[in-house]
Amino acid sequence: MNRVDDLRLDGLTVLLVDSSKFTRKLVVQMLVEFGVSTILEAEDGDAATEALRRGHVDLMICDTMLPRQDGITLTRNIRLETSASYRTIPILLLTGHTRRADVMRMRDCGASLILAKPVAPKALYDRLAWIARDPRPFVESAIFTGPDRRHREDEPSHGLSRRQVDRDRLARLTDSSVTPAEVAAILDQAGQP
Amino acid sequence: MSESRFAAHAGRPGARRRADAIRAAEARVAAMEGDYIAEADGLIDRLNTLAGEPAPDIDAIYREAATLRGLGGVFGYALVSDVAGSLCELADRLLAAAANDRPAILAHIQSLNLLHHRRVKGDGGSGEAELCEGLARLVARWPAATLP
Repeated sequence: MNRVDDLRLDGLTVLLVDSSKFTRKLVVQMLVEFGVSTILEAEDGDAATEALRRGHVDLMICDTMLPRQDGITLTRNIRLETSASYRTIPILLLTGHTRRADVMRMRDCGASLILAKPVAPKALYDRLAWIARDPRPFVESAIFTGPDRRHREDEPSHGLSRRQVDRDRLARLTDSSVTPAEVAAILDQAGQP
Repeated sequence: MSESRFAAHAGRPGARRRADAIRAAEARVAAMEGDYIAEADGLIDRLNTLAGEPAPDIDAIYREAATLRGLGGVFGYALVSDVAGSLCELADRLLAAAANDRPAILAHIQSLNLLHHRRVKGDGGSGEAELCEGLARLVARWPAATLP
């Protein structure tokens, strides 16, 4: 397969699912500049499912944290809907924070790729490029339905680990806006001097 | 996977150059910084209100903090994202333990107030580093939720 670094996204329809109106607006701005011609928005799983059933969607970008049916369950339900034409569409899951209880569910839900927020334009673009050249077969078994988890050549980092205080980061420190007295006041009241 | 329509179309010739598309998107995002400030104001106000309830709704605090975590870093406010992420981690541990720790929650929200209203960008200075380390110690007082 040819490597796809420059994406041509005109003529494609992307469904963006996020309960935060502002987050949707932010990602829409990025997708517009990437050249996506049609962007559908949904604020929850029910609206997303309705949009999928109503018309053709080429890619779904979905936050994990949705009301009622979360993005992980929504992804799994899409993969299990055997008669649906949209069953195999690429799905990029976005997550602000991953609860321990959701780690395995996220791995097993059948998403094409997972990306930790905050989502910068470069990270989003490169994940879309990776999905565009994703060579994995779509597998169906009793325990998993989705892009094959065993074949993950060249998969980009999902960035789920927390930023670390490392030497590079310490070297970037600037003058403090927060005084030692303010730090002490905040931590002391919590019993953590 | 048989090639999806997304893959087939994205690989067509005539695409806009990657660097140009990213640069244009970054400019669009930068122009939204004022909107982000207003959005973060609202999220932090809601966190303050939730934390002030007699029995704070930890799940609601988790959701507001997760939204804030997803936004700050996009506009260069990495520490706001970090502290919001720390609050998410605290809330996750409290939910797993069916517990509450109002002082630790308040310390996180006061930190967010400070960092947001002073518009601290990047990694800040030694004071901010000390603050983040102190918040991490507050989170560490509770055991990490176990994997299912």
